[in-house]
Parts: sequence; C-alpha cells; structure tokens
Amino acid sequence: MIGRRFRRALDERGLGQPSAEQADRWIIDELTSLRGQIPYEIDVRRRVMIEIERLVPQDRHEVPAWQLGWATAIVGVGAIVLLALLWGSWPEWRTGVENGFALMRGLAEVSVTLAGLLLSLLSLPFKMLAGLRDLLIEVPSMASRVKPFAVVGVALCYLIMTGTIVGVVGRDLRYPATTPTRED
Amino acid sequence: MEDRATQDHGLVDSTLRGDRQAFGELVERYQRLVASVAWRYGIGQMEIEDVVSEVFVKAYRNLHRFRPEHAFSTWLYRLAINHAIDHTRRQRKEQGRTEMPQSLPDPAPTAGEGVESGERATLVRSALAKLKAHYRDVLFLVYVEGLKIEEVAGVLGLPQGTVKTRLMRGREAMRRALVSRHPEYFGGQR
Repeated sequence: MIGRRFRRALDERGLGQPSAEQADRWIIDELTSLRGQIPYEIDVRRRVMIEIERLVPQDRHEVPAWQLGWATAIVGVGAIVLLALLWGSWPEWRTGVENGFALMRGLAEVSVTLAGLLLSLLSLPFKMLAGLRDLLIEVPSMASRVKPFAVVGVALCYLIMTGTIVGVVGRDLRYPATTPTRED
Repeated sequence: MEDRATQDHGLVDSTLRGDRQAFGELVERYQRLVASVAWRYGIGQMEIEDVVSEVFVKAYRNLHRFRPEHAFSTWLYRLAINHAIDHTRRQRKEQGRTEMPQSLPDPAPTAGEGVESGERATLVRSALAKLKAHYRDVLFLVYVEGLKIEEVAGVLGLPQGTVKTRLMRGREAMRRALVSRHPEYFGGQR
C-alpha cells in the first residue's frame, strides 16, 4: 500500500515509472492531437462537376423534320421493293388455302394431345389425396391391434415413476440433507 | 440573412430539381471538411483528391436520401467518415498488410515538448496503426474525430454497448502493446 502510494507520488512528480493511468492519458492526448484541419488547400469542384456530368444521361435532341422525311421515304421504298419481290414467288390461292387448313388441323391435334397431358397432371394431386384418405382410414384399425401393448406400457411407466418418487421422497425424509456451508 | 444550414437545404433542393451548379456550390463549401476527415484518416496527399471527389459523387448519387431534419454538413461528414474507413480497409487489403498507411498525419509538436514526448507520440501512432481495424475505427472516431458514443454507434451501425466495449478494449490493447514493447516510455505495471 505504501509502495503504491510512493510510486503514485513519484509518478505525479514525473520521477518514477509511469502508471497505467498516465499511459492512458498519453495515448488519449496523442490521439486528440491528431485532430485538426488539412494543412494544404484542395479544390475538387471542377473534377466533381465533370464526374457528375458523366452520371447524368445526355438530353435527347429533337429529330429534325427533314431527317424524319428522308427516313420515311427510305423505309417506304424498302417496303415496296420487298413486297414486289414477294409477289413474284407468291403461291397459288388454292394451295395457300389448303395449306392453311392443314396447318389448323395439325394445331388442333397438338392441342388435344397437350390437353390430355395437362388433365392427367392436374388429376395427380387428387389421386394423392385419395391415397392419403385411405391411409388415414386404416390407421385406427392398425392402432386397435396394438392397444393391449400400449395399455401395458402406460401401466409400467406409471409404476416406475411412482416407485421412483416414493423412493426419493422416502430417502430424503429418512436422511435429511445437511445445509451446505460457504467456504471462505 | 439565412443561416448556413438553411442555405444548404436550399442548395440541396435546387440540385434535386436538376441545378448541378447548386451542387458545385455545396462542393465548394464542404470540400475542406471532407478533405480534413480523409487527412485525419491518414490518406496521403496523392490520393486525397480522389477520395474527396468520390465522397461528393456518392453524396450526389444519394442526395435523394438526405433528410432535411438533419444538417447537410452532418450527413456529408458521416458519409466522409464511412468512405475514409472503407478506403483505408480496402487499401490495406490490397497491400496485403495489417497496418494503416504510414502517412498518418504528423501533428506539429507544441512548444515545450521534449524529445521523449516526441518519441512517445511516434510510438502511439505506430501502435494505433497496428491495432485491429474495429478497435482503431472506434478510437479514431471518439478521440480524433471527437464524436460522442451514440454518434459513433450511428456512423458504424453498432449498438452503443459494443462501441463502449471496443473503446475500452482498444485502449487497453494499445496500452498493453506499448507497455510490453516500450516499458521505458509507458511503464511496466498497471
């Protein structure tokens, strides 16, 4: 005790080994001395503005009327040329109609097949539910077969638990536990 | 005459309405504040302009999240601190070492400080640089940035209790490291 006081007295006068508190104070003083403003000037305004300009999407300019006119004319001419080329190789009217009907028939057949598949898929959950219901109906009859064993099991549990309780309570009444003492 | 916070809110509103020059005005006003945070975190002069620009671009992108109940400077300051922390961590990871950049700001010694004090200062800064990141961040924010515990908790997204524990353990870890390595300066006993 005297030694500690003596050491503190020495510490306070800066004569002895510094204490933990002194070390803490030095650490904190040093950290707080890092406070302050940047010692040189910087200017990032221009740079930030350039970066921001890049972020913002460029405005859309209106398309001038003459450009629009030219584009329409080119597209129109292209469409006429394309139609003329197609007209030359156009199938006969009758063949076209027959092909159209054949296509519709084929599509109908495919639809029927797909519908059958879809129906069988949709019925699957109902089949599963029916199976589950049958299983649930079976459970009580299965349980009734094991009923005698269950009754014997419950009776045994009851006997074991009662026996244990009686044994423990009886022992405690016969040999009361000693009060624990606190060891210093 | 309007106070600074009201003017800031006006500039934020203008920016959100598409006036980019208004944001330029905010950059002009607060670039020194952001740069000082980066500088205190030991970010070197070569990188500091990059970091400050990144903070302002981030602020611009997230300006719609700024709530006018708070001062713009506080919001920006927190953004700057988080960015500085991320930057120093990323830099450390890239350099594959566990130290902070060696360019930790060197405070000018005050009149009357002796050689021993100067050496002690160097040792403390070196120990801080070697401290685990989660302790160092808390020590930095509390002692260097001068934030309150609840503010630090807000910046780092931690419960106040955790901040207090880290502050205590960080200080203890620093003291232990300094005492064991340099008992001649920091004493040998508790």
